[in-house]
Amino acid sequence: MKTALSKGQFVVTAEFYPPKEANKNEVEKRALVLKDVVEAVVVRDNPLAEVHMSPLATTTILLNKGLKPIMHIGIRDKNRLAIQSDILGAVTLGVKAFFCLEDCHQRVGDNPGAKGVFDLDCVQLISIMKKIEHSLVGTRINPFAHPLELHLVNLSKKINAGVDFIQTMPVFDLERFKEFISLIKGENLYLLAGVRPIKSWQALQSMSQMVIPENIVQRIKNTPENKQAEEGIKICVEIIKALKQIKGVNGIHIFAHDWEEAVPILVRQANLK
Amino acid sequence: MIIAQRKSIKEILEMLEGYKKILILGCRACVTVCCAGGQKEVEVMGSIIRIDRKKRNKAVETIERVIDRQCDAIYFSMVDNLIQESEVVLSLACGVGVNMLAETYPKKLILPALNTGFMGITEEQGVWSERCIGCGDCILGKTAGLCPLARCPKGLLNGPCLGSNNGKCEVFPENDCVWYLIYKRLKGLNQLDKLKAIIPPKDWAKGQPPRKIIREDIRL
Repeated sequence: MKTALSKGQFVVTAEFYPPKEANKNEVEKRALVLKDVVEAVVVRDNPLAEVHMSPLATTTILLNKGLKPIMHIGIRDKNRLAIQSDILGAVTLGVKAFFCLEDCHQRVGDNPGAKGVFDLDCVQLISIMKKIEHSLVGTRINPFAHPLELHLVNLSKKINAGVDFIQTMPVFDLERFKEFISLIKGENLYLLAGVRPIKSWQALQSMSQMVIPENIVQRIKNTPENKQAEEGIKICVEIIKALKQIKGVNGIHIFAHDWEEAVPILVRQANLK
Repeated sequence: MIIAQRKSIKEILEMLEGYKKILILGCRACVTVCCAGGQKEVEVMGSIIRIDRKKRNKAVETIERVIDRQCDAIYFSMVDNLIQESEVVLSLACGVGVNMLAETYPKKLILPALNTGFMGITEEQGVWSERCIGCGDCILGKTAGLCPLARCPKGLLNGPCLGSNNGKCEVFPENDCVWYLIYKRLKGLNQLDKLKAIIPPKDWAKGQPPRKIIREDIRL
């Protein structure tokens, strides 16, 4: 991925949630959908504060299947000892890229009584990840958060700590996204814009924390239920094509969640492969 | 101050089951201010215990007292005889007071009537909230006097999480995001540059129990 980014290629990555059970076949099956379609996959560490298979085990399976995993190391569930131990293990197994974000709070997950660790924050963790020679380190930002100035100060600290790339929360509002891009112009980092295909009207209603323009909401709402997934793909392809035209966007990160089959369709329809 | 809250009546009565001479001991320090373990609460507790026993035709003798502090053994002298005479002491102090009683009276059963919460402020009558976790290495000089360890649910030291939006906390949306408050204060003080300095990982060696402070300069 580092090579692709440095060569100026438009890079495509995808989000990968490990299964909630000890099921190697499921990981392999889902990995095959993404193989040769995306440059790399971000393997999440207990996403949404729910128990999933460990990212270290998942990345190992993905490596064996020929995929390039970007291993998410969470700050919620492990202290600095466990984190460094995981990094050493991952590097030994062939992981070259790492990812971190501030993680969902345990209160919203399936073990709300768990003790949150948060021994390190992302800025501090990035510094540790960058100690690994030639590692590629990424993090996430919400371009639509207010006040953006506060979040940009946080981003500048992550840049100072050595972060190589950022991926954004899913983009639906291109005008506001362009404003964000203009504010980070000149920063020495790669930017992957987040995109998320809307699978249905029901799925859209669970995306209340995202900034979605009214015309997109209406398009899904006014589409018959059996055609909503198709319309969601169409909207996503339009957004990807528009993002590709924006200077400063080095690629996209696809949040497909439980809809991985959408990833190859998006890549094909957006002429990315 | 230390903020505490009374345990459920059910839990307290279960702990006291079978004891016939109970000293209910309040504290005039923090728990009086936060209305959990002062004179009034001690009297109410005595009434509750007596009514419960009366309803069940079971005998009980309650003695109600409040001392200046339970975190300092010197104040126990005021009630030493009563402690010795009673079968059990129900302490309405914070956990520190309960520990102090237990250490001072190794042969006496000491039971807690309160759940000790946190170090906090009074927001308004009946509302208290946490402001300090006693980490042992204060960073308030870097964060405009507002503590992210006490007020950010993730204790983030270098800025807000992705979920902070419109000044509100993602985890407790009714709360202001402390990093937003820090940002606003520093901006008002024209010290926004302070926000840009990276705070390194916390040295938790200073913030983990059991902790002790020894001041040789004032020891006797």
